[in-house]
Amino acid sequence: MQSKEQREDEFKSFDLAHRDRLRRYAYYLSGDWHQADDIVQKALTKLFAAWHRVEPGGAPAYARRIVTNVYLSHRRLAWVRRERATDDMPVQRIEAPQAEVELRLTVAGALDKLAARERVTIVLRYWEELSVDETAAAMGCSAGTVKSQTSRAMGKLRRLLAGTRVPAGA
Amino acid sequence: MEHHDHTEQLLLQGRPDDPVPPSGMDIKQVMRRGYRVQARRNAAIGGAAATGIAAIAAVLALSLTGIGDEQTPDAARTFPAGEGFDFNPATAAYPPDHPVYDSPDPVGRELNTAAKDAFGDLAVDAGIFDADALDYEFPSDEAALEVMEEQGGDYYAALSELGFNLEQFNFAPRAIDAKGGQASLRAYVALDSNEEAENLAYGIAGFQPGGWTAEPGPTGDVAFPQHLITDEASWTDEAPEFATETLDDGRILMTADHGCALEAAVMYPNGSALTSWWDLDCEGQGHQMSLQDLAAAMLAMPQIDYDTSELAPVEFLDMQPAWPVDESWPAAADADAQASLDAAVAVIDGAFGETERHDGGAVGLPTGTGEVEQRTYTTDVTMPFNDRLDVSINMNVRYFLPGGWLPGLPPEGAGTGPYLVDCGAPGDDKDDVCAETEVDGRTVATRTWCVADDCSWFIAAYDESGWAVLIETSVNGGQVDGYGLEELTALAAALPAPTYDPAEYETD
Repeated sequence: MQSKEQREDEFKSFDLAHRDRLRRYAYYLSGDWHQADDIVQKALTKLFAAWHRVEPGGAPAYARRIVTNVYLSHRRLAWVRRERATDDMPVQRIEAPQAEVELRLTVAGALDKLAARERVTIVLRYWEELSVDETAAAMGCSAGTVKSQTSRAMGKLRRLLAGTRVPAGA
Repeated sequence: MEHHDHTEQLLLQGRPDDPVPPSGMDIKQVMRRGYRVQARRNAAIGGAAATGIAAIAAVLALSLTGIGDEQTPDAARTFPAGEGFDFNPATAAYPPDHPVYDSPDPVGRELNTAAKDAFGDLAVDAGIFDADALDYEFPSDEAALEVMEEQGGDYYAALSELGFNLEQFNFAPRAIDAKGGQASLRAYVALDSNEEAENLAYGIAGFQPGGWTAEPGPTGDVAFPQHLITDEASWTDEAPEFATETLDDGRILMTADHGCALEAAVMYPNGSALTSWWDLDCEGQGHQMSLQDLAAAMLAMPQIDYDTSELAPVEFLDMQPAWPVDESWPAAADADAQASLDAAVAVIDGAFGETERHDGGAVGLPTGTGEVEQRTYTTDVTMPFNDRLDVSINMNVRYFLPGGWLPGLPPEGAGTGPYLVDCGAPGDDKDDVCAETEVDGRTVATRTWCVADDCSWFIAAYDESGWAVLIETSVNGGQVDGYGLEELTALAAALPAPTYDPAEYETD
């Protein structure tokens, strides 16, 4: 087992290289930078506690899995659920030049309507651009579950985003 | 432009693109908290993975059979050997991948229910938790299926979603590495769920048949077949009082009394096993439990009929063994590591311009259940140029000294196992291209993984003298001229040999 100092150095190097990417992923999931930072801080703590068991090259994927789990734990907290409980998304018409910003708000609102695991699936597949198998690894489920969950979530999004227009120039 | 069904396009365009704000996170504080988390889990890491203990064989001055019969609710229980195997299960194992449970798992239910009955009062009497901690019901299959249907995830994710992971005696399946990840043992493990406690108080593991021997010995992925309980010193510097007894019904009971901790194992006639450890007072917790009561609880557990359909004899590739974990090695090897990494960085600088070298040195990478490790020298460097998103490009360089790994790409469909480059499994829909080439007399394995305009490269060069070097880097937003697969492959093949004493690493 490596010395405390070397273990810390290695972890600091990992943090240096990957923290912002993890924060962005957590932000995709939570939609809030403060929550994202809270999630990543907890995830890095858990990652460091398990650092001696992390395989070479596997740390980024392992970290993403921990971020996923911490996010899902957060979502189980009542205050998070209350905060996210809103009415159905209104149909929006998008017009340039604010179109891109409004589209993001609309999509974020629609994602908030999904169950936590559905949201994670969509974020991993479409925003983190992971494969089915990588998504399954990040979520601790089978590839089949990812596929069925993606299909179900996309069905919901299709309804939630019905009437939303793709901005001109897309 | 408006599409008939443009949900995917909306999703992709709706991805937030606001810049990542500055982070005020204190990484030192994160690590301090990490140490506290690890301290709480230390007992789990050592115990759950293999449930280990210590040396000399003593005679347990108890009639263990009598204790078991007296306390077993159904004294008429039998422990059939079952149909057996056409092969020696001790030298067989399971595929390295983790099983996924897409439907309720009756084995998990049986273990959870039985353990609550067998160990509940024992733990309460020991002062590990209050009786009201046992005031829960195992989630129904209907409730779990509803969550699985609603939220996806497998059965155990659903149990977690239902909050069962917060209860005591919540067993979950685990794959335990064997022979450096070439195969695995399978077990169901339950750990003390009190995360507020400074130290976990117990771990219980139900081992499926395969890959282990009933003989006591050093635990974990040190040998194959693995030992589930050892009679050598572990919880303390002293070997425990160790005892073995074969019962009339075919079960074998082993116990180890470490003074401040107790351990026990039961091997069943059908080839399965149950192990448990209890940290009672090693950190001054003040819990109390008698060996007799623990033995009675162990014997009150049923023999489980596990799914062994994937258990098969395995032919392991010849691999120089990994090194027993040695905390003194990194410091002893530091001078060699720094010289090796400085020399490597000089070559990288020659190829790409002057880089910024970060910290690094000799690092032992534990593999499997953590009893053995690969010996590596590693550092990170930041390139003197950014990628097309103007983000700095980092490269991790890691030398692997001989022992605990295999050269080349893993066989198709296999996990990473003891290989240094993970090329994914069949059916991966990502753009994941792996290749093995010869460059200047060295074998080089490459993995290129691109998602849209973001690419990562994992390139390992293997020297015939037994060492390897792995570089890992990525760029976002498109190719960077002069920094791609071709250049990185050439770099890996050109990196100098690390400094180490080959004689120390020779094997017969």
